Amino acid sequence: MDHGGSDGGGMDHAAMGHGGMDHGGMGHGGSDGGGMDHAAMGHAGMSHGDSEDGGSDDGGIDHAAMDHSGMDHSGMDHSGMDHSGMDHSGMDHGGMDHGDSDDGGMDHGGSDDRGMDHAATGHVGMDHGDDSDDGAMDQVGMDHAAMGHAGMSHGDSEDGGSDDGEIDHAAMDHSGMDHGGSDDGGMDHGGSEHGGMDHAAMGHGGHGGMDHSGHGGMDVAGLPMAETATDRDGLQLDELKVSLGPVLPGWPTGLLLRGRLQGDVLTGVGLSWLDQEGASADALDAGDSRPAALDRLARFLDVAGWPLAAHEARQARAGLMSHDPDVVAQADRLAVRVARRVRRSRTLAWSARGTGVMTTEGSGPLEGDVLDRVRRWCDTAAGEQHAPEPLPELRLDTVATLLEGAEIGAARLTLASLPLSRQTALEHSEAAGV
Amino acid sequence: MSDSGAGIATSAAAWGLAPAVLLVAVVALLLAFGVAAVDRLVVSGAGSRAMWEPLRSGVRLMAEERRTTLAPDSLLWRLGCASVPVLALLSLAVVPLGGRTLLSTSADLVWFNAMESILWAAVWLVGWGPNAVHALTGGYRFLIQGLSYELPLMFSLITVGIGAQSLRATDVVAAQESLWFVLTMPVAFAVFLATAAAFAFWGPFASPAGVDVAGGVRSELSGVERLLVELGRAAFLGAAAAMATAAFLGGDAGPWLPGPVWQLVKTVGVVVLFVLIGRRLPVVRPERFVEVAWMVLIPLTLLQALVVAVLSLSGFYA
Repeated sequence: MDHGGSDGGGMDHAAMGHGGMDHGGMGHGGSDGGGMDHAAMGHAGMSHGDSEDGGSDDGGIDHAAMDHSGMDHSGMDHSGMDHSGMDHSGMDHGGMDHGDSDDGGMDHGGSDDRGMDHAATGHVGMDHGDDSDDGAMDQVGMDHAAMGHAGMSHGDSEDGGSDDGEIDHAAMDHSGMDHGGSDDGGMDHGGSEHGGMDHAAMGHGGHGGMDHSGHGGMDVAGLPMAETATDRDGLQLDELKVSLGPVLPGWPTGLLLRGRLQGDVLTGVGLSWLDQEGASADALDAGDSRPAALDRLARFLDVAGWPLAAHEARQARAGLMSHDPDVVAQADRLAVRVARRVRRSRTLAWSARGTGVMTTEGSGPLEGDVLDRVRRWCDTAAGEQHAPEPLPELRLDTVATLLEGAEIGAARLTLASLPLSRQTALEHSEAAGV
Repeated sequence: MSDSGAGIATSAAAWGLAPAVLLVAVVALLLAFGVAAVDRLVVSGAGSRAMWEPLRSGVRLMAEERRTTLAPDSLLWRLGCASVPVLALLSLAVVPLGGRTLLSTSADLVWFNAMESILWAAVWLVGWGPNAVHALTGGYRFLIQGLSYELPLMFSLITVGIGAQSLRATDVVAAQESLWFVLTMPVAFAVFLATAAAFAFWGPFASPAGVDVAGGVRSELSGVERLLVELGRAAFLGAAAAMATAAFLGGDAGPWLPGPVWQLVKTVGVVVLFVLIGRRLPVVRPERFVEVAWMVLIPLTLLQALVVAVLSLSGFYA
C-alpha cells in the first residue's frame, strides 16, 4: 500500500489510548514529527523496542510534515482484536481534508473482499465534508458490527480496482505489511472530534496491558465511565451501554441485543443475529406441534424463574417423543398437568400481566401480552388445540420497539414469548425492494 | 413476666465463648445443608441421593479456581461475599439453641431484624463488586426487594414482641408456654416466612439472582466466594426457620421428647414448608412485589399488630 501524499488534516487523535501497543520492529528512522499535535494521547505501556527515533523531540511535539517513509510495519500482529460492538455514532469527520491525498498508488486488486459483514455499525453523523472525493465509493448500508479482524492478511495484496461491496477481512493477516515509501507529511490531526465514540462494548481481551492513565481518570481499565442521561421519567440516571447475548439461559441463541441500561430499564434497543448464515430457524422452534410448544414453554418458565415447572415441561416433552406408548401416555398426563398449572398460576399472571403487549392488527396468535401468548402455548402443550395456527415470525426491529423502555426482566419475558425471524434486516429491506 | 428469661444465662456465659460460638457455627452449617438438601430433593425429583449434591458441589467450589472480571471492586466485592454468611451467623446468635442464645440483649428481635438490614449492603456489594451488568442489575433488584420486605418483616417481629411483652428471644419462647403465637398471629407468621425467603433471595423472591439476569448477583461468583454466598443464603433460610420456630411455634416446648429434639423437628418442618411452597411458585418480579408489599402486606401486618395489642391489653397472654 502506498499512502503517499495523503493528508489527514483535521483529525484529532487526542484521547486515543494506544497503551499496550507493541511497536517493536518499527523503523522510524529519519521521521520528522514537526507540527503534529498528539497532546493527551495515552501511550503508556507502549513498547517501542527496536524503533529508531533518532533526532525526535517529544516535548510539545509537532509532528507535522512527518515523513514515515521507510516504516516497516512487518511483525505487527492484529490477530485477536475484536471490534464488534463499536459504536462510531457521533463521529464528526467534517474537518478531514482528503483533497491532497494521492491514493493512486493503492492497489487493492486481487483482494477478495466479498462477504464483509459490517452489521450494525452506526456511522451516523459522519461528515465527510466537501473535500473528499470518494469517487466510486458506495458505503450505503455498510454494517461493521461484529467485524473480526483476527488473522487478517494484508501481505502482498494489490488492491487496484477492488470492489468493497461485501468485504471479508476475516483471516486477514497484517504481518508483512510494508508501508515504506508513504509520505504523510503535512498531516494535521488537530480539530477532529472523536467525542461521541463509544468503545464500551469492544472486546479488550487482548489488550491486557492497556493503560489509559493519560485520560484524566475518565476510563476504568479501558472502559469509559457510565454517563448520565435522562431516563423515561425525566430523571438524570447513569446510563450503561450494554450488549446482551448471544448466549444466555433461556435466550434465543445467537441473538445480540445492544442498548442502554439505566438501572434495570432498557432504552435504545437494537437486535441482530450473530450468525446470519443460519437463516432457517431451529426446526423445533418453528413447529406448532406439542413438543415445540413444550419447548417454548420450558424456556419461558426458565426465564420466569419457575425451574420446577420448566423441569416438568421438559420431562413431558422428552416422554412425548418416546416410542413406548406407556411413556407417551404418562408424558401426556404430565403435559396436561404442567399446562394447567402454568395457565392457572396467579403468581405468574400477577408477575407477567401487561408486559410485552402486541396491539398491532394482524399479529394474530401473538396478540395480547406475554401471558396471553403463554396461555395459548399451554393449550397446544395440553393437546387441546389440535390445529393451531402457525406462528408468524416477527422481524427483529418490530420486537426491538416492544422492548423500548422495558425493565430488563420484562424484556426477557417478552423475548421468550415471541417467535423471532432469523432473517436479517438487510434481507427484509431487499425483499421490500429497497 | 419480662424477667422470666433474665435468669437464663447466655450460652457463652454457660459454656464458655469458644464452644458457644462453635455450636452456633455448626448449627448454621447443618441448617444450611438441611435447606439445600431439601431444596435439591424437591427440585430434582430424584431419589435421596440427590440430597448429597449440595455437599459435593460445596467441596468442588472450595477447590475451584477463581475467575474474575475486568476492573472489579475487589475489596468491596469480597467484603460483601464474606458478610453474607457472617450476618447469617449473627442472626442465629439470638435464636435460642437448647434454651440459650449465644448473646442476649433486651432487643433480640430488633437485632435479628438489623442483620437483615445490613444484608442489604452486603448483597448490594456482591452485585456491585464485579463491575458487570447482570450482577449490578441483581443488586438493584435486591434493594427494590428490600424496600418491599423490610417493613412487613419488622411489623411481624414487633407483633411477636407485643405478645411476649419483651424483645428478648428467650422471653418470647417462655411466653408461649400455654399457647403458640402462630395461633393468634397467623398473618405475622406467614409474612415472616415470606419475607425470610425475600431476604435470602430465594424461591419466588429469587429475582436478584434470577435466570433472566443470568444469575444476577451470583452471576460472576466463583470458587470460595460463590460458596460463601450460597452458604450464607441457605444459612439465612435455616436461621429464619429456627427463628420462626422460636417466635411462633413455641420454640423447644413439646411433650415426651426433650426440648432440642422438638426444636429440631419444628425447624425441619418449617424448612420443608418453605421449600414445598416456595418451589411451587414462579419468581415474583420485584416491581410488582413493591406494590403488594406496601398496599397489602403492611396494612395486614399493622392490623395483626393491632389485634395482638388489644388481646395483650385485655390480659389474653398473661
